[in-house]
Amino acid sequence: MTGQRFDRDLSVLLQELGDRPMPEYRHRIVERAGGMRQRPAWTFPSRWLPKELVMDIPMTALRPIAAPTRRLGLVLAVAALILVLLVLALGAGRRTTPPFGVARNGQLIYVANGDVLVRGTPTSPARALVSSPERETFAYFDRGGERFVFFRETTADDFDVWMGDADGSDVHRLAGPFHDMQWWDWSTDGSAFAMEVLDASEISRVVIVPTDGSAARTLPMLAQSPVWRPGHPDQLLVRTHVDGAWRLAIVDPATGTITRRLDLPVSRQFDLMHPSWSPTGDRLVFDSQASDEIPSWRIHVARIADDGSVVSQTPLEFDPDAVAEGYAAFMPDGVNLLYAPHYDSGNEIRIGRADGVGGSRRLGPADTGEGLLYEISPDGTTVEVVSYARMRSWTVDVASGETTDLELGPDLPASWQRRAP
Amino acid sequence: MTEATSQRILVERAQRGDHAAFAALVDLVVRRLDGVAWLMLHDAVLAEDAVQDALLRAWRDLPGLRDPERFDAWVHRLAVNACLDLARRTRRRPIEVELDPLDAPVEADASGALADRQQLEQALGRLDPGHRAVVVLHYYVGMSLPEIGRALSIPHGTVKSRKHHAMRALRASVVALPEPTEPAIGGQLA
Repeated sequence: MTGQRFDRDLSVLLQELGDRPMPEYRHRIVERAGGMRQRPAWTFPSRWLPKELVMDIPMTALRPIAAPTRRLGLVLAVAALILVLLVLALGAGRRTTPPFGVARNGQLIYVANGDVLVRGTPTSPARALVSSPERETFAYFDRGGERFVFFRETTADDFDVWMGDADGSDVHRLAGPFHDMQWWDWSTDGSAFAMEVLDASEISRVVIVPTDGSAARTLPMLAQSPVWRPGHPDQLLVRTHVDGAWRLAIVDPATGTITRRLDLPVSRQFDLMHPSWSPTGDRLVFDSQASDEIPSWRIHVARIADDGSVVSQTPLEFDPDAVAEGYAAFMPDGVNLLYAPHYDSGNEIRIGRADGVGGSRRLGPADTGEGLLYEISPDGTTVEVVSYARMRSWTVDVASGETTDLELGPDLPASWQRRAP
Repeated sequence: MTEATSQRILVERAQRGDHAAFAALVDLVVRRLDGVAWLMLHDAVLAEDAVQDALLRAWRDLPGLRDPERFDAWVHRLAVNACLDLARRTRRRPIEVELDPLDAPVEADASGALADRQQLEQALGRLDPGHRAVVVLHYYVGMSLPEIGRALSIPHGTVKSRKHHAMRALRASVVALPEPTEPAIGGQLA
């Protein structure tokens, strides 16, 4: 072949090489798809980002890293579940489960094939907690480990919120229907469950669903990412749009009013994302863009006073070669951060000190798919990771890095019940 | 109604679980995807596996596709990634191309064209799968370099670099003859 022909006809030659008969196996594909369920739209983390951003970000950067109480948006994020201390004054000798910080690992709860299942350990046999003709999706224990909330689909995108006791009894409907959940968090005392959902105009709203059966209420502002502040049951942090920019603000959940706007610098549309509190509620970790490139997030840790004022803010960069570092959550010890960086070569889960000292190390295998979800065990010894691209999940021992494959299915990660130490 | 509009409608229906709409979408894209997989893997069984994997994922994840207009780019991306997975998992071996025997005299152009395709096929098979993907997506599917970056989740600079190296390797493999010149007569140029 001449160089001239190569330059001129490469496309034509490839068309000829790739020109094959209509595949007969297409009928098998269609038949197999007929037996497969589609993933509900709300399970895609990309849903929380504007369409134009989704189109411009490589999918691997958009994968949800689901924190135990986090959004199901584009990019991966799974933050550790920060549990509030529940004080049960029922008599001497009863141990209470701290709602945040280190606790003992209880059962794992997860959803598979439309049912809510539990396991004693990641690899022990499963038993159904809720099994019905309807399709259950998403399930999460409260911070005291006494009850769990789950969703029951009403349509492909809509769902009702249900609740039951940890042993599967007293299952009852709380509220709904809601549409397209993006983020969630249990209140510090288990009295309410906050969610970011989309309203009929696809606008993000934060809804607070009381667990006593009283009416759910929607915060009267555009809001995202609700996270209750440990040790401050009257402080619900949200990301909201005010004065022309997205900001983090503390809301009184009882009245729905902003009591404090966090004085954190914001300059780009996707700053102040994925907030997560430390177990003691004195620090807040979040992501802000490092440049106009998308994604370019870097992690920031801010010290927040009791009244919500910002004491200090420290940017972290564990690895300058990472395309983005974000979706961080404090480990139960409050010392380390788990986070999910994105590299040209793929995605990882890594752990490093929250003060940035000493760099970070990878936990488990890197993944070249579309991002990873993670959940942190209450005792901080184990991280569960899900790769949607590979439809696999595994646990990682934090100390040794040893991984164990799980067979929980490709849905959201299982999450642990917190038990008293 | 334009073809793009009718495809968008099919995608929207399929996103809502309309199986017949999905079947129609499969008919629209499967041949192209099969060509991509064949060029990537040069193995009919692996190509079928890759296309099947991609389209089943497409059905499963279709509700998450924010913009139905992006269906083509998205499903090509799924197919290429499925091919890359398979290429990395299966044992590396040179892609072997059977040279068809010429049973009967054929026109010089036809045999030359056949030889060109075979040379290109072999050269393509010698490329690293990631480089091969860039060539296939750009020159066969017609994606722009930024679109390829999004499809493969690599930066634009990496796409350009891979294209450059791939084209240089392909050229070195297949370009054997000098540029055509006037035929020599008696050892001298006419």
